[in-house]
Formats: sequence, C-alpha cells, structure tokens
Amino acid sequence: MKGERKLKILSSILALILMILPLPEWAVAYRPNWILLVVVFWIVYAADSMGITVVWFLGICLDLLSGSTLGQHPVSLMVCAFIIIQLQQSFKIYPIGQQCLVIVFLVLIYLAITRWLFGAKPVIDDWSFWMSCLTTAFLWPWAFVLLRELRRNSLASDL
Amino acid sequence: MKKSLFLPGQGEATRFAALMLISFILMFMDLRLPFMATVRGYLATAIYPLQKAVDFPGRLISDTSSRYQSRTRLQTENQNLYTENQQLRRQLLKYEALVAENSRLLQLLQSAPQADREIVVGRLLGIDMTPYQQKVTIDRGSRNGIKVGTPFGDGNGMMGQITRVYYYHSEGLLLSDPTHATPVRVLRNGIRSVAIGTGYTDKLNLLYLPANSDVVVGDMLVTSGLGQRFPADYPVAKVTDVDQSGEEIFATVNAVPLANLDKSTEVLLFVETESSRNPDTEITPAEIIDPEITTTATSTVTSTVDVDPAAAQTGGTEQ
Repeated sequence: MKGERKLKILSSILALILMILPLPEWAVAYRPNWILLVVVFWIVYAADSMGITVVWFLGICLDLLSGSTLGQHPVSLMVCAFIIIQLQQSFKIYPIGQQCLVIVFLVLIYLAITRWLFGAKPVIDDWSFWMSCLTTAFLWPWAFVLLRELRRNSLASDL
Repeated sequence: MKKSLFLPGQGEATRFAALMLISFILMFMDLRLPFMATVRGYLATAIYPLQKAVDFPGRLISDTSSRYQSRTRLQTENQNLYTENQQLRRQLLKYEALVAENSRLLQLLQSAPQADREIVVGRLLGIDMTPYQQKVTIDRGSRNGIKVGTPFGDGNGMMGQITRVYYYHSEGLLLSDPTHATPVRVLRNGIRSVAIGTGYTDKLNLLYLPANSDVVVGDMLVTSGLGQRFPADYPVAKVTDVDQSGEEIFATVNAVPLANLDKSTEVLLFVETESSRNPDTEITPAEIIDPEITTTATSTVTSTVDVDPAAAQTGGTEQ
C-alpha cells in the first residue's frame, strides 16, 4: 500500500503545481483541470483512500495557492467528486469515449458552480471560458493510462 | 483502512454534507471576519514550497542557458549595456538638477517634496489560474517590508499593487484587472483621469474625460499620486485611441500599459521606507495646491476640463 500512497500524494502535488503554473494569457482559459483528473482517477481506482475529505483538503490548498475565497474550490471539487463516487461502478466499465464525455460534463458542472454560485465573473467573458472541459477530456485517456501503469508498478513493488 | 471499495454508502454522504457546510462557513468567515487574514497568512506560508516549486523549472532553464552563452554574444551584450549606461548617466545628471530645482520650488510653495521609495526586486511566481481576475504572485513578502497597497512595476512602467501579503510571498492585482483603477494624469498637460482595467492586458480605459478635453493619441499617462497608493509621476500607459465624436458627454479613450503585464518575470516593488512615512510627507504637494483634486478623482461626473497650472508646471519640468 505504501507505494500507492506515495504515488497518490505525488500526483496530487503535481496536479496542484500544474494548476498554478503561469501560462500565456490566451491559454489560461484552456488550462486543463488537472486536479479533477487526479481526483477522478483515484476515486475510481482506489476509493478506499481517496475519500471526500482528501478532496476537500486539495480544494483548500487550491484556494490558498490561487488566492480565492477559502472554501470556493472545495465546494466545486466536492460536488464533482460526489458525482463520481455515485458513478464509480459504472464509470470503470465505460468505454474510454464515454469516460471522456463524463469528464466533459464534470468540468462543465465545476465551471458552472464557480461561475453562478460564487458570481465569479470571468475577465474575458466569451465561449472560451468553457473550453477547459474539452482540454481536460482530451487529456483523460493519457492521464488515465499513465496513472494506471504507475499504480500497477507501485502495487507490484509493494508485494 | 476503511473497506468501502465497492459501496460508498451512507458515511460518504454525511461526510460530504458536513464538509459542504464547513466550506460555506469558511467562505463566510474569510469574507467577513478580519482575523481570517492572519489564519490565511499562516496556511499560505505553510504551502509556500509548492508555489516555489512552480518557479523551479523556469529558473533551471534560464540558469543553464545563461551558463552556456557564446563569448561574442556576451561581448556585444556588454557593449550595448555600456553604451546604454553612458546614456542613462547623462540623463541622470540632468535629472538630479531637475530634482533639486523641483524641491526648491516646492519649498517656496511650502509643501513637502515626495520622498523616494526603496525599490525591492521580486520574481513572479505565478499568475492566477482562473480567468476571473488578473492576479500575480510575487516571491517577496512581509519580511521584505512589503505591505498591502505597495505598488509594483517593471522597468517600463507601473504594473499594479499588492493586495495580500504573507511572510515569504505576496499577491498583487494587475492594472488591467477590471476591478483596478489607477489615478493618472496626462504628462503633456496635467489632465487627470482614472485608468480602469478591461481584462485585456493591452488595454486600459480612461474614465471621466470630457468630450472636449485635450487628449491625443500617443499621450503619455503617468501616475498622479492621488489616492496615496501609487507614487506620483511614474509612467503607466500610452493613449492608443481617442473617440470624441461629441455624442457623449465623455470621450472614449483607451490606452496600452507601458509595462509588459503578461511578459515580465521580474518586478520592482516600490516599498515605503521610514523616511517616506514620516508625517511631513504624508500630504502630496498636489493636494495642497488643489483641494478639489480628491473629489475629482472619486466623483462620477466632472463638468469641465480642469488644467491646473501647477500640475502643468510639474509636467513640464519632467519632460
């Protein structure tokens, strides 16, 4: 279990870093929601240790790093995590295309919550605001394969 | 370890509800209670290594590339820097004479000259991840004397001001954020205005300029020093287009910030020092000369073009 835990922590930290990595202005709206990718993977493949509490904690870290109101990111992240927990069984056996579709909807929900619940009006208010759902879904198969292989290796090394 | 691999069950839902509640309470506290700023300060300092880690790859690349530069390139660069230095020195000679003259004139008017601010060089650690606001993180914090409201800029002009300070780092709001307003004046004739961000890093909007005011494309805008946040007379932006079609009461004037808001990686922080904080210098000369200045900066309607001779004069001496 130890190697898996290490991988979990490392992937979360990497996702946090990628979320605040400076990007050129035009690319900001397209930034994939890395943290959501990591959360979805670990909930689906190791639900026993990626509980909603960990998700909440990651959200607080994001708030601190990005300077938003404390509690804003945890709410949007937890809603997405809760949906995935409910879908967990079926999500595992979905074909990869359908998984991507679920990710698209999750990111849209995430963005809608930040936008309407918190009145966080984007600076550049056009359709590109919603574009991160596509980049995130596009990255899902790669992130999924990579994390799955790494997890397998870590599990094997634990034996 | 909890065995809920296949059945998330009841526990998860209760925990979800509880954490939701906690998040909303946290949000309320963060927005309403002042002591949360200290709590947040400690938490953010604890997580600072992550912020620093973001900076690491970029720093590694720049360090390595600076180590492997060719000799000829370094020589030409050195030569260029040398000539630039000579030019700047010549300009500085003139500048010092002007400063002396200016302070003498201000003494005649019985008002205190503005003290210089100490300049701290900082590095940008991050740019806000959301497109909601234009915020940056800088690797200088309260231990370097940074305070809330400390203005910062790059070599070309003002960039913004600090909105949150932690021990090792701080957060700043850029001029181009829609919630940021910079008090400015036209260098050529001293007309005052307020530059509001638009959300685009290459565009500021000038408010409350009457339709018949004397602003032309290419005019340089400098900070007016009103509102006590920004030091006076630092370059801010250049006017790019003026629409005085006469249909509206106010002219539509846009300007492009002189600082590279989206490219600069190193910033200069204008930190108030002990000497600049003493009560004599609290009041800027402009305010003594023109008492209605503060009302002009904040009120929503200005009726006439007000070119006060004093502002025009200071503008003249700088050129």
